[in-house]
Amino acid sequence: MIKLLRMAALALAVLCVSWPASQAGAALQVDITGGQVEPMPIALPQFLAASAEVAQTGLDITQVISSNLESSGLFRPLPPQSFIEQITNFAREPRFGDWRTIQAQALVTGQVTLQPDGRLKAEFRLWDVFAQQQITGLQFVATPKSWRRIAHKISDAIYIALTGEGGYFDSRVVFVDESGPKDQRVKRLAIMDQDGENIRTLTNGEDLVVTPRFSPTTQEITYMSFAGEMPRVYLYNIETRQREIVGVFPNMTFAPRFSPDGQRVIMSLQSGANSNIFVLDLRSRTTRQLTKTPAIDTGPSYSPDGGQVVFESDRGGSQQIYLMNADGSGQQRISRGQGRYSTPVWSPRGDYIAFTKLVNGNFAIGVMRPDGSGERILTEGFHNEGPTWAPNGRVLMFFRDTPGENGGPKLYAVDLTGRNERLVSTPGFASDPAWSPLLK
Amino acid sequence: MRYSLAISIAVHAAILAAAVVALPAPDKYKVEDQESIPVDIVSIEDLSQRKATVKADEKKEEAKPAPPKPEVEEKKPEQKLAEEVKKAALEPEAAPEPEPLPIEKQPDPKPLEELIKKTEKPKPQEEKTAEALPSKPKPKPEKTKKKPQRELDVDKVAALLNKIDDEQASPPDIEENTGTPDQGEFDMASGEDAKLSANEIDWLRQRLRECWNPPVGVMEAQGLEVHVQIELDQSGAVLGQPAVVNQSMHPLFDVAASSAVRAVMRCQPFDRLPIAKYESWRSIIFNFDPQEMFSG
Repeated sequence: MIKLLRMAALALAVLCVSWPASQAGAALQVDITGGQVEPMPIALPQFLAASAEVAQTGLDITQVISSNLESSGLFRPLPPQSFIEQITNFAREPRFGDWRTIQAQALVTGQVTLQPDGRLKAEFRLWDVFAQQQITGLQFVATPKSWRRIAHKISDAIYIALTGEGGYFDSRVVFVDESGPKDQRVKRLAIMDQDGENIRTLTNGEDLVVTPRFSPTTQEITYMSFAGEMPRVYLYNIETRQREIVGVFPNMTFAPRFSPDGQRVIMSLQSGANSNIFVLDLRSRTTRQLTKTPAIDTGPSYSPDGGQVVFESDRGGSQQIYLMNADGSGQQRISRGQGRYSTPVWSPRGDYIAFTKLVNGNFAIGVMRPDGSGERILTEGFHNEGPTWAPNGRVLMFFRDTPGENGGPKLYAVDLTGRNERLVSTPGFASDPAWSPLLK
Repeated sequence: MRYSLAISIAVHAAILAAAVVALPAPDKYKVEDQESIPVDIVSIEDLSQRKATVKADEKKEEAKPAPPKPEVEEKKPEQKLAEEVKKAALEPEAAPEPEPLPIEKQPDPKPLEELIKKTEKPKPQEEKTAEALPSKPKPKPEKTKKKPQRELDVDKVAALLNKIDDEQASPPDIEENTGTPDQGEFDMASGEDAKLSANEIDWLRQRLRECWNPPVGVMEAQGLEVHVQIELDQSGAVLGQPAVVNQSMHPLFDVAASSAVRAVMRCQPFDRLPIAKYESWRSIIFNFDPQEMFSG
């Protein structure tokens, strides 16, 4: 009896002692399950110039970075007039309070110097205004002529540090430049920086060129050219400007595209009313057939690891997206929605497959996961086609045609959320964009 | 002797038992009072969500008109290309200059680290001044207002709802919120262990939602959570730096964590929490999980 009472008393005492203690020690837990989807306000005061001769370069670099970040849709560069603190010393820590006041979340300070050896040095620091610390700081040295690439590299470094994604600003885009009346278009291959600058043409427009594709490993492209009626697959080196014929095929060829290692080209060859998918080894120049169906199989694209191929086929009655192993085995349909699917392109990150979809007379650009799930449309309209991935796999470029006598294709970019769509400015009409890997 | 010990223990036990069983009982009546509040909360959430979607729609519409802009410029460059093309046709060798990888990326860790150290040194001072400011309102705990208010005043609730509503409409302005802590209206419980009401927690939640701007990839990454712990002074200002108290191998964890810390620092001071309940909100763990923002 007494033992029992003692134990009860002890238990009660323990309870009384531990109860308030556990109450005081526990922090209040609050779950935050949503936030604002809005571009991050970022302050980019003009890069300081160590000497007067590079003052303009400092301004130019700042402007390119600002427009790069803004074009991504993820950042909102603040107007310089709103700045309270004027940065005058690159080595000194900024007054964070001044930048918080104007609602800047990140701040970039920078400096350009012309070195004694005639090269340009650009340094920058990225600051977290609220955590009051430097996030990253780098410097680049190059010939003054390459200031634009320095600006792209700095933009990439900022983008990577704040989003955690890979960069894509230091890259280029090959596309088909179209000029002349609608029934007699001259099509030339052209190349430009990702932001539309530095445009130059690569072919003279005598032959019809279509479907340029970048090699994932080198500054090489492959494309189709029709001289007369004869289709040829070309390899073109952008740096050396050398062009070589990969093959002249007796029948129609479609949509050549590189393998991830750049050693093979995958494409479809027509025979009769059907077409099937073949791989061409660029070294041995031997071909190997991957599909064998009485249907149209075309538009093949490798997974980034080279283990699988996604392609379109009408073997089931309508155009759909299929997946197979790189040796042609295990072919299966992955697209499940309504409508017709075409031009599948595997993301360089491997997580999505982009496609064009025709449904209810509208052309849409969308993405799905490699197992066919999670399909979502990023943009749709009268005519959208030919998606190509930015090197970081977060942005797609495609071309959109407009109807009418004076209508023509233009290039657009859209990010994976579908929220940030923009026109990529080109001199004339443009189609068939192909995004390069990041420049080295 | 033995009996007296046993009696003493028994009586003590009885008193303790009575304390545990009977004394907290009045709280039950309070809970009833609060039960009417969740009904209001639903409307707040609805309201705020409606606001959020309206905001988002507006933004979308604002953003849309942007693309057509460059079209105005279209025609000029056409000539430019024509010229370029002519040039290219005339002198095909001159066109694309090979770019011999001119940029040497020099992360150059040594001098930069030195620079970083240099710049990091003055930091503690900045922090101190930042801490010193919000701690001023500290001596203001007005104990006179602490009287327990049993009855739910519908007008006051409505007034508070309106207040919260106003706040949602205006963008979060940190500078403006440094006034006297607002308290008392919801101070229904007495004693230091009083917990925050559902409305007060919802206010915190709503405030953080307005301050948090998760990076785009974080919204897609399912199951990526960041837990940030903060200590607050009585004015609702964050003491020191927020601490990230969980870990993850996710490649986006670092940017997710800094976005969460930034959100907390943007939002402070949390000056609408009742001082009477300070003990209950002195330490807060915010669990950031953008599950509602997942887009597919």
